[in-house]
Amino acid sequence: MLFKNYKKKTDEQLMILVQKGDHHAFSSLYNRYADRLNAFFFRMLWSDSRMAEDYVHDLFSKIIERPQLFKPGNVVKPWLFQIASNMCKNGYRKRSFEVEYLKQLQVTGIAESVIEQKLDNEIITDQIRFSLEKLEEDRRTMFLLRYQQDLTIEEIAEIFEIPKGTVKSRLFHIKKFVERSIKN
Amino acid sequence: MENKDFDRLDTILRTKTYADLTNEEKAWIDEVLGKNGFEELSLMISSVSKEKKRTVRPAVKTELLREMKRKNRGVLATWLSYKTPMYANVLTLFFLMILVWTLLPSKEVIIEKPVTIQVPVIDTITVQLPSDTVFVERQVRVEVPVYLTRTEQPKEVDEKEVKSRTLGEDEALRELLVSGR
Repeated sequence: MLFKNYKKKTDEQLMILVQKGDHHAFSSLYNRYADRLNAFFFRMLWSDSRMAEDYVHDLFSKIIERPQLFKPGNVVKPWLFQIASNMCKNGYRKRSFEVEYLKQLQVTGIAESVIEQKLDNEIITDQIRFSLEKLEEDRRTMFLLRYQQDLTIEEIAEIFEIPKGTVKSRLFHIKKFVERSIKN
Repeated sequence: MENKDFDRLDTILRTKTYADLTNEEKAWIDEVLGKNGFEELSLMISSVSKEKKRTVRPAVKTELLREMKRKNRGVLATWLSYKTPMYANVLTLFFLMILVWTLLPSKEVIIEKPVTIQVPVIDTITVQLPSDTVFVERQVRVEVPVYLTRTEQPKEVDEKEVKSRTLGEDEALRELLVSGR
């Protein structure tokens, strides 16, 4: 701590130190990205602040448990957001399962479950949330990465492992969604 | 074509409001998005970009750092703080004691102690002198310079050998004394 200036280190240098078990480096990396990832998760996961924090915790726990997942040559920022977007995908899958399960309960006449109550509590009258939820999952992720987190097109392409042109094309097609939403 | 359009739209959306657009830009935006579409998208982008960060509770960081330290602590610390039930510790100690007791070979302890025993040696010499023997006593004194040099550790005198030789046994000495020559 006394001899290492963590503030001057790049994300990649910090990550290598984290792999060696340096908890000061981990703390610095956390300080750089936790709030940004929390904002991303918040918008991706139905504006649920508690769920967003849980996801931030889980993401950094993964880094602690398996720091070797970061390969030399990787760039930390897209790597972190790639993990985050994969976690969101799993979150959506889980949520759709929960919704299906709820429907089934209603059909069979079983009393309102805790899950339903939770879903009800999470409904927030937030204009951005409604607008974002109308977007497809991948486009929502791209939109937030580009305009909330200011990631470059190259970084987004790296996250989705697709060419830059495809990213631009998908982002451009958001206008179609806007046109549709205005018509509605 | 689409990519160029995206780059242009991206730049305009990030930097300008509809009122700031030039006539040429307005015409293009109206064609691509329409005024309402542009304003809607512009609003969404500006709202979202304001919330780039969202504070996480400090408890999350504390918990994660604890997890990190727990995972990366040294082997010694892990061993020292490894929690085992007391009965397991007692049993381990008991078995260890039995093992040591059984496996260690029993050794006889021999203590060597040097003891000095003084044995008196008495020797008798019978000298028979002839009657005509005359003793002439003469004192000879010669001063001989002695130079002592030491090149190696002095050898210890073999006391056993010295003690075993008595005057009675030394034939040469006896002859000298008897003959007087």
